[in-house]
Amino acid sequence: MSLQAIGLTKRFFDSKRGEFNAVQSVSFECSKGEIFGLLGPNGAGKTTTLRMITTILKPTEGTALVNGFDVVKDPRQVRKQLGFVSADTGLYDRLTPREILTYFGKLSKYPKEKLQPRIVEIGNMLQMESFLDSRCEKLSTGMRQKVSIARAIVHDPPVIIMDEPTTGLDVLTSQVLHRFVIQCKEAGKCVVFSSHIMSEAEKLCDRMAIIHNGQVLASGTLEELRAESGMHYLEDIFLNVVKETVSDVR
Amino acid sequence: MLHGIIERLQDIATVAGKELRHSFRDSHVLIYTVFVPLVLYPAGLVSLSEYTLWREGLAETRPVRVAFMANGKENVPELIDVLKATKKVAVTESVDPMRELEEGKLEAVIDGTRAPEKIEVKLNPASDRFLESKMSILTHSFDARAQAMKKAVDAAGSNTPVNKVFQIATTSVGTVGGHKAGLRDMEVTAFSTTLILVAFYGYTMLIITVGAIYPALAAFTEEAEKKTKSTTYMLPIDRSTITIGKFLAVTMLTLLSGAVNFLSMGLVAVYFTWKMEWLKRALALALKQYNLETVVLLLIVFLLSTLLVAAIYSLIAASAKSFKEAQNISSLILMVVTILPMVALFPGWALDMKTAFIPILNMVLAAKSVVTDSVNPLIFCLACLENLLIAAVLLYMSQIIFWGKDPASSSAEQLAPTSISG
Repeated sequence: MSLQAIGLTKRFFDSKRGEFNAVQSVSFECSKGEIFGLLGPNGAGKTTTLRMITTILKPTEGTALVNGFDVVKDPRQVRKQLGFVSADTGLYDRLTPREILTYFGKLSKYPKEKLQPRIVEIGNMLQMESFLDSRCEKLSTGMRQKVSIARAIVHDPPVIIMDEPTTGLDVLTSQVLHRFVIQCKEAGKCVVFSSHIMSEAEKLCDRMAIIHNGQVLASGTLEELRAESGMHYLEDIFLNVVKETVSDVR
Repeated sequence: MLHGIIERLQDIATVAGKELRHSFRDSHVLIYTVFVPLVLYPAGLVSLSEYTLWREGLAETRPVRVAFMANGKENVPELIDVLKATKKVAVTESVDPMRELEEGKLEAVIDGTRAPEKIEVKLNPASDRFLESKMSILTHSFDARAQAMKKAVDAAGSNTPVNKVFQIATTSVGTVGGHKAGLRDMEVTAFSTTLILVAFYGYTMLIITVGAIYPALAAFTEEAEKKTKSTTYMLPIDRSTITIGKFLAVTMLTLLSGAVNFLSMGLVAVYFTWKMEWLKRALALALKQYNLETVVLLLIVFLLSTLLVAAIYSLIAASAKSFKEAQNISSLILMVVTILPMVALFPGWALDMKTAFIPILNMVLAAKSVVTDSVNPLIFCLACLENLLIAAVLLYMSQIIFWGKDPASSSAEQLAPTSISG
C-alpha cells in the first residue's frame, strides 16, 4: 500500500470555540496506480488531513504511512516520497518555471543529469513549453497552477497529493489537469485528490471518502456508494450523506 | 559524514543561488543595494564640492584677511606658504592683530606659538564672514599639513607619527577663556584626516544597512507573503539549510553593497585628486601610513559588520508578518544603526572593555582604532567575537521564528487557523 492514513486526528484550540477536533479518526488507504478522492464541503477537514499526511501538521493522534515511512517518526523520508499540490501555494514571481523546477529538483535530490530532460518532459506533459522561460509574475492563474503541479512532481515522487487543485481554473486548464492526473495513475502513482466538485471526483477517482465535520462518513468505489445509498449521482449521494449527519446531530 | 557535509553545503549554495537570482530581479534590491551606494555618495560629494568651488571662486574676489601673531610665525612656514599662494586668502602684516580682528579689519589671526603641537586660529564670531573664514583656513591647512608631514617623513622615515606633526584648532575670540572647549576639541577631531576615514566607515555602515534591508525582505518575508513557504517546507532537507542559504544570500548582497560603496568612494577620491592637487599629495601621504595589516584588519571589521547587519535584517524579515511591517521595523533599526557610528566620531570614544560589547558601535570603534594605529589586540578580538556571537544568535532566532515549531518534531499542538480551511 502506498499510502495509509490510520486514525488521523487533529485537535486545535481556538479562543472562541475552545478545543475542537478539526479531523477525527480519519482512516483510508490508497495503492499504486489508484486515484483516491477526499470529498467534502469547505471546512470539512480535507486540507487538515492532507497537511498531516504531508508532514506540514503533526497529528494529535494516529499516523499515516507514505510508501512505508511514518509521517510522525520519519518526516524527511516522507517528504521525499511526496509531491504536494494545493490551490493556494505561491510561486517565486521573479523566477521562471524552468528555474523553479531546477531549484526544487536539485533540493529534492533528483539525479542532476536527468533533471533538465525531466523538466522538458513535464513541460510537454502539462503543455508548458511556451512559458517555461517566462517569469512567473507574467503568467495567468492557469499557467501558475501548472507550474505548481510541475514543481510538486519534478522529483518524480511515487505519491501525489492534490488539495483542490482545480479551484479557480478555467475548463481548458482543468481538462489538462484531469488528463495529467490520469497519466499519473497510468504511470503507477498513488494519487490522493481532494475536491468539493462532485463531477470531477466522479470522473477521476477510483475510490473516494466523503468527509464532513472532520469525520469520514462514507467511503468506497462509486459503485459501492451508489449501491449503499440507492442513488445514481455522486452529488445526490454526497448531499444525502451530509444531510443524514446534520439530522443526526439535531 | 564528509559526503553529508558536502551535500549540505551544495544545498546551501543552491538556496543562496536561487535567492541571489530572485533578489537581483527585484527593483528595490537593485536600487538600494547597488544604485544608491554607487550614485548617492559621488553625486552628493561631487555636487557639494562643485558648489564649494563655485563659492570659492566668488571668495577670490574678496579674500579672507589673515594676519599671523609675531611670535611663532617661524613655526608655521608651510601654512604661510600655502596661504600666500592662494587668492582666497590675503596674508597681511599687523602690529596689533587681535585688536584689528575685533574691529573687523581682519577675519582671522593665526597663533603659531605652540606649533606644531597646536596652531590656533582666532576668529571673530561677530564677523559676517566668520564661517567662511574658518572653513577657508581649515581647508588650506590640509595642504600645509600634507607638506609638513612630507617633510617629517622625509626626515625620519615612514615610522614617524605623522598625525602629531601638524594640528590646527580654531577658537572664537568671544569664547577664549575655556568656554566651548569641547566644541573646539571636536573641530580638531573632525578635521583630522584619519578620523575622516572613520567617518567613511560610519557611512559604509549606513550603506550596508540600507543595502541589507531588501535582500532580507525578499528572502524571508516574501516566502510567507507570496505563499511559497509551505512548498519550501515540503523539501526533504533540513530547515536550517534553507535559513542558512537565505542568510548567505543576504550577506553576499550586503557585502556587494559595501563593495560598491567602496568603489564609489574610490571614484570620488579620483575625482577630487584630479580637481585638487593638494589632496593628491595628502592622500598619497596618508596611504603611506597604512600597510597590509591595516587593510586586513579593516576587511575583518567590514566582514563582521556585514554579517551582523545581515543577521539583524534576516531576523526582522523572518519575524515580520508582512512586507510592510518588515519595512516599518527596518526603518527604526536603520536609525539606530546610523546613529551609533556617528557616536564613534566624537572625541573620547575609543574601543575599550566597555565599548567592545556594544554591537555596531564596537565595529566602528574597531575601525577607528585600526586607522589611528591604536589597536589593542585583546579588545579588538573581543569585539569581533562578540559581533560574531550576536550574528549567530540572531541567525538561530531567525530559524526558530521563520519556521515556527517544526510540526514533525514537536509534540505540542499547533495553532494554525489557516490549516483548518478544508
